[in-house]
Amino acid sequence: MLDLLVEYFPYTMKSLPMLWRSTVETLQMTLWSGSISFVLGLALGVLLIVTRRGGLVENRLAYEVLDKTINLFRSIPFIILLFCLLPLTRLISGTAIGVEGSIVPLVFGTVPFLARQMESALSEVSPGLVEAAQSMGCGRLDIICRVYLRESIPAIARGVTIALISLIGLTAMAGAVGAGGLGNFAYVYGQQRSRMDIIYSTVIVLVAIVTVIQLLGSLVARISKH
Amino acid sequence: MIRLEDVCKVFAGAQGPVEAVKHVHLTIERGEIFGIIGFSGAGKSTLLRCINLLERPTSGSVLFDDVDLTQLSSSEVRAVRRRIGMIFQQFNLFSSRTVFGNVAFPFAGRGLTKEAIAARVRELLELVGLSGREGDYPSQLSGGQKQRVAIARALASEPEVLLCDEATSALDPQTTQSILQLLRELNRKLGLTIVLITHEMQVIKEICHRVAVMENGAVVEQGDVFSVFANPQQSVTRNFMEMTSHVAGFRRLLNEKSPLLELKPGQCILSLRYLERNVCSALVSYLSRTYGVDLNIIFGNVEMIDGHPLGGLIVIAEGKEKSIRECVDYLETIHVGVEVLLNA
Repeated sequence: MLDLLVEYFPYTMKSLPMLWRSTVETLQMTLWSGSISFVLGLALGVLLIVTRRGGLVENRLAYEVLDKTINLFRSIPFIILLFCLLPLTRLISGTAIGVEGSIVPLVFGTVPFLARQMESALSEVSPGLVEAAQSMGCGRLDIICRVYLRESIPAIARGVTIALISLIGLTAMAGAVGAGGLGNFAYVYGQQRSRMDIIYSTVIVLVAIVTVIQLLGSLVARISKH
Repeated sequence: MIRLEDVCKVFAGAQGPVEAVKHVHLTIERGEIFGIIGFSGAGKSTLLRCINLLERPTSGSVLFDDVDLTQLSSSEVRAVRRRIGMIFQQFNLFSSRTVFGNVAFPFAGRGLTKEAIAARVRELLELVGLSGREGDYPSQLSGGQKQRVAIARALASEPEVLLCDEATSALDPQTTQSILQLLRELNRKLGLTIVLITHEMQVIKEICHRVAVMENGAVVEQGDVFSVFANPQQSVTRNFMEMTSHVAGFRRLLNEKSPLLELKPGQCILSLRYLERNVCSALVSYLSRTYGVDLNIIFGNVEMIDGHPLGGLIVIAEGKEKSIRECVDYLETIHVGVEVLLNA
């Protein structure tokens, strides 16, 4: 078995600690920026839902501004967004490289996408449920927490899964321009040195990570759906 | 108890404003079952939502125990809504919560202990006949059971009024009966005032004390169920009446000059409609004996509304012309509506 690995992945086997460190970095980037994006994306999703026409706190102006801003950020390719955000990243993180330097652009790249995912998850909640809660004397905050969020847990789980998987794609891109992680590993040690087996091994690790995330997401969606 | 005064609701539509509710005046007494009937689009759903301010009237006032709800702050409105329960055509249960969770929903944040809530939920489920289903999710229940859970949830805050928005329209006839039965029981046992809207005549006949008929956003007729339907003044009311009475089918036969209705000389077809509550059931034999007129009942439709027969008969009368005329005169003196449909 080991012989086989050494035969087909010669360079990978020589740099296993490096592969391991890169994997940890990718997971760190994903989890940190994923968590921050989840909070912000969910908040924006809720804002979109409540300010839209017929929403709980209908506000045409707030909705339009939010909607257009999200569209703006979604239309910038991530690699360009990375460069645009360099000054801001240095301001917030103190550095523009490494895991720390990647969080700001990753959050900016993920939040708009996640906000749309959350908006569509929350809009699956039937207006009838909101009406029922209102008829029972519930206030707006109550309705957001106990009706919108609670009822759309399965849809939120699905949306977060999709966003996390796309976020992993972004970390690889960030990695290629100095953020570390598997993207950096594949680019610097694989592509630039023509060591294809390094590239393939990162693919295998990424497929494994994505599979686990997908399984977890589907599991949460399944057990929360009745 | 509830008084709507000159309530109007205007929506901004794509082609200019739409008047969904026009100058409605209604009074609903404590303890009664009040029905609002109308075809879809008549504005009854909007009107119902004006009562608990889910729709804020564009103008007019909604008085609940003499307090004008339209003048209250939003937190005061929420407090009033706890005194007004509501159930819906689509049940609107929270699918992420069990039956228990749904019924317990209104209790959150009311400072009740877990035990007190559990006891109350059990009590409510027993009231609606769903004991032992606490742990089920809505998706495991039938339509009728879902509506029962919704009723239990609506009753959780011990409301004085229950608003029913087409509560039986998504149910089959048998389940409809059982839900209506439950509503009637709640009305009697708890003294619960019920306001329901429906497009089904059957629902009105079955449980309502008083009724309002709506058309194009306006209430065109209202009163106690028997008088409104015994003596409909508006064509929409007559439509509802005929929908359930098959008279329409008979009139079609008449218009098509069906051979079934071919008359011999001396015969004529009369329609007799009961307009008052004191119709004696021996009417036909009395007429035969007294006036020597043979009455052949070819069609009958008598229903009990509010404990009184409502409906009428269609008969072929045979006899001397004078006798038939006397017959008709007599019927009019006892307030039976007579119409000569066909005369040979």
